[in-house]
Amino acid sequence: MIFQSLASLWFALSLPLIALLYMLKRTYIDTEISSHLLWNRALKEQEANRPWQKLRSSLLLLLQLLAAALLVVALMNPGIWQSPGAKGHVVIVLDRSASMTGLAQPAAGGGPVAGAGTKFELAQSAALQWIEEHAGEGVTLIATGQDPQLIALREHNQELLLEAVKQLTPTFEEADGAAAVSMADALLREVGGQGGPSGKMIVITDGSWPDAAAAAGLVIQSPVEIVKVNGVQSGNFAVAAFGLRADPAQPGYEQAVITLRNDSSKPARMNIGIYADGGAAPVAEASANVDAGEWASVAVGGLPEAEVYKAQLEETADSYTADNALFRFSSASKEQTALLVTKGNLFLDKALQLAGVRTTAADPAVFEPQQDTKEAVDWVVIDGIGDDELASPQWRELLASKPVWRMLSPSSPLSEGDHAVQPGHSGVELQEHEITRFLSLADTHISKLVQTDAVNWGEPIVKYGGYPAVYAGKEGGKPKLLFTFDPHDSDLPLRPEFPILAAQAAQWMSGGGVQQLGEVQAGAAIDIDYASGTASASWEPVEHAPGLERYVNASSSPVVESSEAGLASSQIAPAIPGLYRFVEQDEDDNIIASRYAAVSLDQRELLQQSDKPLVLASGAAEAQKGSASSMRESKESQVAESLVRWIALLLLAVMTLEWGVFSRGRTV
Amino acid sequence: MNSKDREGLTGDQKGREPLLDPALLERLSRLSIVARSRIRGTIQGKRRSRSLGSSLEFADYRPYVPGDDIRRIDWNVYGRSGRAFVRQYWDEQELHVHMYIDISRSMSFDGSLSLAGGRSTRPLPLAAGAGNPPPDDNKLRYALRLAAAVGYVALAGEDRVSVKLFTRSITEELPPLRGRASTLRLIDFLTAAAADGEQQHAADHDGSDDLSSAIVSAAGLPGRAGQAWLFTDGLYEHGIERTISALAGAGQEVVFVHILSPGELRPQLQGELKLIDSEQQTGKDVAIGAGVLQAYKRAVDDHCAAIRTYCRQRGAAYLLVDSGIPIEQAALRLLQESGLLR
Repeated sequence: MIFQSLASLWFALSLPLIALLYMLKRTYIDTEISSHLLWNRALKEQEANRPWQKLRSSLLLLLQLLAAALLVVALMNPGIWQSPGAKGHVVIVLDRSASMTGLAQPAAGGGPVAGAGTKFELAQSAALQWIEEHAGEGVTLIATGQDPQLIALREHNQELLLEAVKQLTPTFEEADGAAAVSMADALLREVGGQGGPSGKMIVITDGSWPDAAAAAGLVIQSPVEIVKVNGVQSGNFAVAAFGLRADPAQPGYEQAVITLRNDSSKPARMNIGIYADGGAAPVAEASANVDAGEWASVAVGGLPEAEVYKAQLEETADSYTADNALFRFSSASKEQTALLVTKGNLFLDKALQLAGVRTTAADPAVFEPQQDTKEAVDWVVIDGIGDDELASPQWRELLASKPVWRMLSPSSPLSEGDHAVQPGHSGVELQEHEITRFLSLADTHISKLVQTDAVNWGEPIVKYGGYPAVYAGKEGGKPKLLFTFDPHDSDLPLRPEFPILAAQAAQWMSGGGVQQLGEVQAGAAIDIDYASGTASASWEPVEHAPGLERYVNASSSPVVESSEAGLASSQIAPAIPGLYRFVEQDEDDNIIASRYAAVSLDQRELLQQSDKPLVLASGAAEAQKGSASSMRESKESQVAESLVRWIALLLLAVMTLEWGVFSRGRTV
Repeated sequence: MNSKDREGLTGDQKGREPLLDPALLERLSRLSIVARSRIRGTIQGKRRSRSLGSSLEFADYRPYVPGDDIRRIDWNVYGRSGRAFVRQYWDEQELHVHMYIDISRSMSFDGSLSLAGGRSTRPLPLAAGAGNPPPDDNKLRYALRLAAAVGYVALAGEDRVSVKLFTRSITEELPPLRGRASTLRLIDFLTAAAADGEQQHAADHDGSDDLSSAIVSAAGLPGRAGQAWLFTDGLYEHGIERTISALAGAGQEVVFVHILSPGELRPQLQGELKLIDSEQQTGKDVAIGAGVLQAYKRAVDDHCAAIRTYCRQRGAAYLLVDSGIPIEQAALRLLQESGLLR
């Protein structure tokens, strides 16, 4: 029961006024009696509290007071707290971001916490409870995700709704809560039409939104109710970062640098185990004392070479386990060896070495590639060497099997259809590409370029003077790079941008090999360079992030998208964080490549945990206070009216009774 | 009783209602007042006196002493025994009946009269026996009629009757009457008092709240022993005990006739009333409900019981009379049953 107009309570002063008037009333009927003697005796007791005596005996007064009280109550415009959303369309926005997988209650012991309930389960049960209690005019269910997912639209069937809520699972991809709220608002507005939103929005969340700022900026016109699912606010320990490099002290070994984060309220000693290639026992262990709310790094050297390393926190009573492990791939496997086929190019050689590429210079006049060359070399740079000098079968085989970075030289013999041009102006057009990042090539001068029609494998990413200067693309899954000018004909090598260009080009070239897929965010799209001859591919989970095994089910198992033209080059990473293997098979189902991918969750989710509370500004509400009060208002106006009607009815009954009393003249 | 007497008793000489009707007189004449003790009077009457005298009623023998009337010597005894004994007889004397009638305004208060003149729109129902003529709610008139009946019985029984009317003092007095022939004077006196009572509003009939102020005085108390009848409504704050004691001390057999009207015994008032005291003209605002009425009835009962108890302690007779019951019933049955008339 609520009152919209408490100020009307002042009218209640009329009640004592009525009583006062009754007390002051001088309408006693003169009746002569023989003597007061006996009456005095009879009234002796009642004389003592005489003013109240009058009140007691007056049913009429009581009824008038009751009527006045009813009027005052009616003036106060009462309303009843009705179950929210019993009327109108209700949109439930269920936050299923990664942070929702946090524990709802602190884990009892230090052991595995798989059995404890998560915030998401709480949110689910809150939604279930809400749906069970309020079968309104249709419930729309929206789940947050990378894109908001419309699970049910104006669904009246409670069973279906309940089932849909039960089916929901948390997502570890980047969750766009603001988009979901915005969509819910749009749905409500669409239904509400001109008269404004007729329903309300219920956001069930833990309040930890990476895009809380964006959500707060939304102007929401519908009433919003935020159902906060409270979980363990602090007490999280995480492996914030995990890096690998060659151990400077011990050649052939790796050194790991691990950054630990302690979000709990007290300092803790955190133990780390580093596992190699999925081994059951850690290859190294380390520990660090981390103060509350602080970060700390620890370096562990002497790790044996392995493909994949995992850094995992040991034995922590942790509210959130998914961030307790990080995967990294061996840094050694990234060291590339390039075969520099050149007559001598010191600038390029140095630039590649700066980029961390081991170069092997080879003059085609004196060098013929052997079988071991093919194994030792990751990619090939041809610096202004004509095709005729590389015409031997060994060269052809090598060039066909390796990514090739070629630089054409107008001075060397040109292929058919190629011709040298002199650019008319020095304007540079850069395409957005991995290689052209951070580059402007302004004031660079190129005197001659080779125009070629033979490029069908890639796009020109740099044009100079209107002519394509750099082509980049892929041929047979291998990167391919073509410079249509000789660096010797340009001042580019003298420019500070050249080492950057070389490094980025080297990185691009390295990507062509069978490399690990690296770290990808769950549910994000990644570009995959398939090995040549790949007909089919699949994701194979190797190890899930700690505590997330329970979310593994049929629906979440990753699928590799393919079309009629073959495998799609852009694939969606698995939804559940962990270590995956991307296996490529040829037409005979022979495995031709297998790469690791470390799927991680949206790191921002975890950093937001103890941030400021989520605020959704509803259009009708004043300022920040919000959502709740505006919802209240919209409810009152509907229900209060009916209460006033009831009071009027009651008042009528009281008046009738009073008339009866009046006409009969009865006292109590 | 001759016919002239009867006309005087029953006829309405001044166009007023007779105090007693002939049938009642007929029946009353057969009764006499009961005196519980022997009477010491001055004039020879029909009642046996406490002293020995010259009646025909034998009392005792005693030895003759010189000086005795030799006519009273029982010669038969002397003849047989040789000793002279004197026969003694009870002296027969009259009973002196004193009647005190309260004529204060509360007595002559007429409920229906005052209400008609008042502002009340509600009728005040008064208890009345079904089929009876409208009862005489005026307690004074009722008291006078009762007094007339008692006085008639006394006169018819050769007793002396005197009447005193009082408010806060003795206002009027009827000197002692004797003999049936005096009935007319008695009735006249009482009728005049009744007429006076009806014009009471002009007269000074203000009562006092002390009953003893009128009676316990030189003029009030009877000089000779006898029977004192007190006709009053007893609405006195104090003085009732003192009056009874004083009368008893003056050698009276006190008969307290407590007359209350039905409106006083069983008031049927309702609503918010300003009760005005008929004597003091003071008002009292009362919201009357069932609780108040109950309290009032309790007060009435307590008041009557207190007087009755005191009368018993002083050897006085107490008679509560509801003025709503017909006078014949009260005069005959009530007085008879209580043993005051026989």
